[in-house]
Amino acid sequence: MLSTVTSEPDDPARAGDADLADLFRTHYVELVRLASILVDDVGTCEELVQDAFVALELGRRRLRDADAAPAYLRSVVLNRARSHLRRRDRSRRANPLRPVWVQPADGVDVDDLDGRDRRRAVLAALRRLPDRQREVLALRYYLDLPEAEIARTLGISAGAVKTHAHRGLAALAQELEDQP
Amino acid sequence: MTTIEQELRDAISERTDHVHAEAPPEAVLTARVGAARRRRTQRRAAALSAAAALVVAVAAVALVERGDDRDGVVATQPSTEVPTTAEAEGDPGTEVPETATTTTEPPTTTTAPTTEPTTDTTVPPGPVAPAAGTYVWPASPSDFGTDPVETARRFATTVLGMVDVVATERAAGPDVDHALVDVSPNGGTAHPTVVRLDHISAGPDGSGRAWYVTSAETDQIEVTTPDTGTTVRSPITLAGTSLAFEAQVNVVVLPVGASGTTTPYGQTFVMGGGTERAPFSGTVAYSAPAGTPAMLILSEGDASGRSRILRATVIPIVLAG
Repeated sequence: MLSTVTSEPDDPARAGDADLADLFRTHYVELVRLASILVDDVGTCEELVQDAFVALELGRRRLRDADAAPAYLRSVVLNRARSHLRRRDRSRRANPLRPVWVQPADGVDVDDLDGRDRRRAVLAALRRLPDRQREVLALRYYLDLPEAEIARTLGISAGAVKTHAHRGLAALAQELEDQP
Repeated sequence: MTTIEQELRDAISERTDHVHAEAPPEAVLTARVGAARRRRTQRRAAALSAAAALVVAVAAVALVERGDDRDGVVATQPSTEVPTTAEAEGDPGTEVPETATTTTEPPTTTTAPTTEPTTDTTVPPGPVAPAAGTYVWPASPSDFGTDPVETARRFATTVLGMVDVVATERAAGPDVDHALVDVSPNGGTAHPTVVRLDHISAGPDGSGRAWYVTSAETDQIEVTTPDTGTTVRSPITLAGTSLAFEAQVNVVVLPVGASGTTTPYGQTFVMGGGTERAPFSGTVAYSAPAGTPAMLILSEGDASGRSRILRATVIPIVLAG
């Protein structure tokens, strides 16, 4: 839940523009990379992130705590990445001939891989996890966010963050261990 | 830290380190915010119009019923159309004039309608979208780019799904009103696709340039049918020559201005040459309203999986429905 504590600038419009530009410069690349952990196509990631900034600007009146903006942006990016992946999955099911959305590293033989391919296999396994587990692990191991901040970003409790992280790591270890 | 945690951290680090994104100019964000505001305003205007129409319909029914109660004395005064300007938001220099229309019920007496327009109906001149069948992206002049190279790069990433794009403008020829930009994905390792761009005046006074993509082409996928800008019927007949990995050329029909992730109007694939250039032919069926401007993309997928499309030929068409 976003804070409703407010500190209105003298000129909201001008101050808002400056804030948005600062946020854009500061967080754009980090957010694209966060999205790229979940979505393979970097062009799509950039679209998702720019959409998140547009959503922030259009919903600025609802977001009165400037400190909450980064968490809000992360939340929007993750939500839109999740929606994108679901649409993509539906599209794949509807038309299996479509050749352009292929995820790498499905069913790879981990034992025979060098380190790079092993890391790709780990990333592919991460992408196959349930949504929340995948997002918790991405926020923890990419951004090194503390549990409280992950909870704030995803709108869940700190206890749920711990649970998702534990289950996600266990599932990853199991899947990678099970591969021949 | 456990082994799996370290492996996960390493995997994420390798992935994110290879994402070479950089924040586009703030003007890009400003334009997108302006476009989003205009869409929101249009949705609100449409909702208001629908609500007004509903009120008018209910009132008309009530009046008719009352008229019946008075032995045939029916209010027959026609409605008056009251034009109002749509709320102007965003950059006025790139605003596309939009008008919303609301219907006002006249008084029930026999006097003439007294409702007058209460808002200024004049709108400042703004850039007008090019004609259907002459361009492919972006859809709205408010989203056109300020720089041809950046516009071509955005086209390559957004529509073609190319990653790590190297975009290079070719030396300007005598015709400086147009631009040719080579785009190559995967750090410039692929044979480039040539993006053709044209521009309109960005400001109402004719100043500035707003760039848009008219077409794109790779010499490895040459399309002879359909011709650029033609109006076609479903199924669209496809013909040309190509040289692509495993001979496969993917075909999609997308709305003008769409991203590559938009649900296409139609899609298929055709087979050309795999080791040497060879002819291809086929058809692609689509479902779209008549008169819809669209882009036809014939592309070679990226076998490495990095980009969605390695190279493509993109032509504007108009769908006849």
